[in-house]
Formats: sequence, C-alpha cells, structure tokens
Amino acid sequence: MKTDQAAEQLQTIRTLMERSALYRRALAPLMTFAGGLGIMAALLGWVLHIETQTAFITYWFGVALIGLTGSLLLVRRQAIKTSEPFWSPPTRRIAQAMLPALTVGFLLGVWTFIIFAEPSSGDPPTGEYDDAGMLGWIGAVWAILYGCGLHSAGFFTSRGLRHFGWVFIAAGNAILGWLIIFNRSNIPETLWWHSHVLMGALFGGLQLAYGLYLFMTGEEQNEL
Amino acid sequence: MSMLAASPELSFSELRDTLDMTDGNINTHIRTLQEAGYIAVSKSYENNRPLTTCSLTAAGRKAFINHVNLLEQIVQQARGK
Repeated sequence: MKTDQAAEQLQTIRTLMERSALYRRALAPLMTFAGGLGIMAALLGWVLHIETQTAFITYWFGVALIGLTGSLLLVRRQAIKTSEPFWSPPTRRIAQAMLPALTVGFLLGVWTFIIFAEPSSGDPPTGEYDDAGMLGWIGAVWAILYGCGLHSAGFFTSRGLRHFGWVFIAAGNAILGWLIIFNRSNIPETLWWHSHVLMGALFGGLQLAYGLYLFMTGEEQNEL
Repeated sequence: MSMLAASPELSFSELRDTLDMTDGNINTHIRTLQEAGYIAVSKSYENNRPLTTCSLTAAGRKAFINHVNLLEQIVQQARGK
C-alpha cells in the first residue's frame, strides 16, 4: 500500500469516528426547542403589533439570539451527559459550515435595519409604502440562507439535515414567489402580521415538525 | 468499523444516514462483517418498531486496531525516509 493511500485511509477513519458522535440524538431536542420558540415568537410579535421594519428586524434578531443561546446550552447539556467535550471537532465543523450563511443573514438584517432607521423622506423611490414590502422579503431570504446553512452542516451529520435545508430553501423561494406574483409587497396593512406568520411557519412550524419527526422516528427503518 | 469503534453501538439507520449509503448497500457490508465475526448484530423492538443495532466484537476491535496501527506504520515509515 502506498503512503498517501494509508494517510487517506487514516483520515477517513478519523472523520468517521468523529461523525459517530451521534448528532441525530442532539438534533431532535434542538429542533423542537427552536421550533417552539419560533411559533411563540411569531404569536407574540403579532400580539405586540411589531409592525415597523426596524422593530421587526430587532425583534427577530432577539429571538435568534435566544434561540442560539438555548441551542448552545442544549448541546452543552448533551455533551456533559455523554461525557464528550462541548467544542468537539464535529461541533466545530458544523459551526464553521453554518457560519457563512448565518453571517450573510445577520449582515443583511443589519444593512436593512440601517436603511430603515434613517428618517424617511416620504418621497419615491424609497417611500414608506414601497419599503413595507421588505418585511416579507427579509424573512424569506433569512429562510433561504438558513436552509443553505443547514445544507452545509448536513455534510457533517446525517443526510436528513441536507434534505431539511432544501425544504427551507424551497419554502423561502415559494414565499418570494408569492410576494411577487400576488403583489403582497404592496399591502403594508397586512404584510407585517403576514411576515410574523411566515416567520412562525418557517422557523417555528418547520423546525418543530422536524424535531417531532426525529423524536418519533429516532430509530426508523431499522429493519436489516 | 470506524464508526462502531467510536460508539458502543449504533443503529442501522444511524450507520446508513451517516455513511450516506443505501439500505441494500449497508446491509451487504454489515452481513460481511458479521460473517467475519467483526461485528455483532442485535434485533429488538422499540416503540413497536424493529430496531437493529450493531456493535464491534472483541475480534473486530482487535482487527480494527491492527489495521489502524499498520496504516500508521506505513505513514511513519514514509516520514522517516
């Protein structure tokens, strides 16, 4: 056997041993938590009438921060339970894989916030009426980017996460299509709460459904 | 074998999903390793669903360690040259 073949085999063995850290078990509580949080946040956003662009972005940034903190605490608890290091190589790889898409989503929110934080002149082409459409757009784009992040992370865990990433990408694009085809961007009176519903459905409903699916089918199709 | 060396036991679906293989393909691998005495396969039920779990046998662990040692020797020898 050649040296490079031996080194390659050793690398494959190392990677597979790391992957064996059973992310599937950790994923179910994470998704259920994130899903529940998303639905509750959407309902609260609706009840509290968070309808301006800046308030919408700030509110959902806060929800994302709570979600991220809670997820890290869940991963830490899982690591302690299984006597594994919290910041293990597989955890690091997953974080690195998701980072570009999440960073773009975060920066997009920041830039959009800055644009809308400036006092509106009320004149076209950036009048408030037209800008209200951005609420739906940003939620859809966040979903697409989150889907890209999940898809990248899926290369280091089970293939199910890659499929789930595609669901987010498809749903985000479907919402963009809905906004464009049915001209929903031009109805600011209802768009703010539609946007909360969309955020709740995407980041709440989808994740909760996936989390429950993982819980229920934790050992599905095990027939050998 | 690498995955099983890092975990006490793994289910059929965990192995299949992580290795991104088809049911038939992984089935063949498991059967070959089982026949060689390298892995033990147990079948049970969980929530009324069939559950197949695989674990490394003592002979399998020994063979795996020998294989890894051999690979490391090859790499070390090449570095020593």
